[in-house]
Amino acid sequence: MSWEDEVEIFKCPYCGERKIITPIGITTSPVLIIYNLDEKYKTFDYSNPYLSVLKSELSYHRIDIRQFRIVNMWYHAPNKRKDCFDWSIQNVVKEAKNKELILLLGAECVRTFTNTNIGKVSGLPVKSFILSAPIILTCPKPNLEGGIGEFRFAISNFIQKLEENNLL
Amino acid sequence: MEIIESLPPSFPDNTYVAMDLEMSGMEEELLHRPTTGKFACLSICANSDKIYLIYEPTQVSEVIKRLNNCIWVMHDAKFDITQLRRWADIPPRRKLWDTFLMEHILWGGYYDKFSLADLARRYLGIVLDKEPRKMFSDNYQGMNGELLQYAALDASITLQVQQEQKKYIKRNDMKIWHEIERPALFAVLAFQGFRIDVDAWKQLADYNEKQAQIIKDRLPMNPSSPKEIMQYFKKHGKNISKTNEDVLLKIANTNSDLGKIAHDILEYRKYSKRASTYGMKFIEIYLEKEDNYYVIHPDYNIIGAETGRMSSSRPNIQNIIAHDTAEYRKCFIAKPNHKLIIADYSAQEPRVAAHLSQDPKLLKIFREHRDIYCELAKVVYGKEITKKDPLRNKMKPIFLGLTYGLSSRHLAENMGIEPEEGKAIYKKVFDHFKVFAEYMENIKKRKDYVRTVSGRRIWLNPYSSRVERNALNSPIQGTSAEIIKLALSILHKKLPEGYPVVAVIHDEIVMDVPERLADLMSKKVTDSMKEAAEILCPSVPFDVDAKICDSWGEK
Repeated sequence: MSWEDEVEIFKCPYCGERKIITPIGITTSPVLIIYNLDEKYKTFDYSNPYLSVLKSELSYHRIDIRQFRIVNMWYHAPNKRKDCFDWSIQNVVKEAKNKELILLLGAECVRTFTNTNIGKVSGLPVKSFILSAPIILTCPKPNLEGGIGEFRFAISNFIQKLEENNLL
Repeated sequence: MEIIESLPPSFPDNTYVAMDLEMSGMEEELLHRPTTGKFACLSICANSDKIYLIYEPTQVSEVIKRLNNCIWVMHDAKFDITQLRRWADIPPRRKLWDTFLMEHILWGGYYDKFSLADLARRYLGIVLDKEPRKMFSDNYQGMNGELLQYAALDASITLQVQQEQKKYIKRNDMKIWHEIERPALFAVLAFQGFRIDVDAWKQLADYNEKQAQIIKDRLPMNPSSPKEIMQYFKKHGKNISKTNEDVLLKIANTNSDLGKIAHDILEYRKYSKRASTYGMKFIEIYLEKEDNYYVIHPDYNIIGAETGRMSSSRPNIQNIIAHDTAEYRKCFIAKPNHKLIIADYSAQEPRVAAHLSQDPKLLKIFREHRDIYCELAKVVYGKEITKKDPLRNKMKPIFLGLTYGLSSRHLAENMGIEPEEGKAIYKKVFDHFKVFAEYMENIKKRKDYVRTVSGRRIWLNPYSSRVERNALNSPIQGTSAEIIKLALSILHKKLPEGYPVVAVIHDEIVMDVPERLADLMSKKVTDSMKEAAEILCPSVPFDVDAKICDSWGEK
């Protein structure tokens, strides 16, 4: 992504929204995590409950989440405008360019980028019709009330792929 | 994958053989009953590359005969065995591996989904397409190439999953399977239908509907609309932001005109909830005629919760209200010339808590057959009370609340006392039962898993807001569930022919027996329940209350 691209993302060109959810983490990381955070938590950084669980699960395996590039599927709070959504997805696709491994976090992301129900493919590699990374994995949002197993299963597959492909 | 459309050969003894039954045209709500649908095929797989398929139900008994010395592998054996028994005699067997129940034993609380597709995804990393299954229900036209592949793959996957599960299963997990879950499965498969007085149920359903309508008609607003209720109260000088039970109850207790309205709204809700939940729809699809009366056979899940507790559905008989009316339970009655025996454990969870914590004071109370709630009243209020004292009922939520991790604030709310008083009660209890308090303190620190007395792991979610509560309660609830399952299977062994159990509700077993055998059967169930408890919690004697009666509502 060029400097110009980054500068452009200060407001949505369609609705004019200025509260942009900017990607976090290292731009040059070969790994991209795409998520769709729940608005009710208001925070879109590592303090968000879902990212915070991901962070602590990775740190249990001595992996620092900050080394990855992380981007929200929506570049601002979701609305019903298709042009805003398309603009967000274009930005995500730009972020995804040249990445070697992409982790799709949450059912909404998996549906958007693979047109698949996460229940069927949770934790497994998938193909995307938009994203071109050699490895694309799916992961459910961590369950904050029920079992944590599905999330850990997906994360252990993610770590395995990182190790196999020397991406750490 | 080679598909052979013929009977399988006889495999060597103790070969793992997966079997998967496909039925066509089954009614979705009656999958647990051998009353609907037709045999479509049975796939048999002893080697994941070679699958035998049979299409004729007349061949089932030959398959069973040939595979009798093999270890059967099934995913949700309850379904397969229930249906296969339509065409072959299948007595309870030791050589059985249910990948569904095994997964629950291994990962209860860790995973939330346990279908074959979920297991295939997790163990084998493959996506199992279950779409073709629909063809068995919607306009089934006989087996075709796609269905053939589907049926064969299911058996092959079941076997592959079993082989992967085996890597995780430890000796103790097998012990839980062989001593608790597998025998409970066969006990549940032997349950009899529970007779129901359909006319009485219908009258009750009509009565509740009418009552709801009468109250609705006399109310000045639509009692189903929170908005209208709030507007009405505001107009009459009472601003409320919620219309939940707590809020309305406070107003109802004020002895004013608004109090009467609030009372009526609560009454309306009670009747309309009963009418909608327990209408004819609750039972009618499940009614089966037996002689000249009706029975229902609920579907029991051997492991219905992460703790191992059983659950029921179709219909959910465990959910039939008992706390504020016995009318619904009264509709469940003994068969002609029979009696019902209703047996339940007295203070089961406190006894389990005593065993788990080994608190000497708690143990002493139970060993001396004293009443835990009367003793608690002595600790909390310094009063000697009898079992009939109303104070005793107030003691129940205190002890149970403790084991469920109920905060002192919530306890106070439930008891209608000041928060400080709630705190003081907990302090008194903890100061008195010090070892129990220590046990609670230690166990609630667990963030990975806890165990029942049998050693069953119940996984915890460290990110859950309920992690402490689950850590505290799971060993108690899980152990209690194991006791009742063990009791069911001990009783099943004692009464292999004509097992008379008609229902199980948490710590209660209901049997329907010929009147002349009632005393004998009452003793048998009581003994079985005590024996089960003694095996699992030997440090505490368990008391069982058994009543011989005509309807379920009499206890």
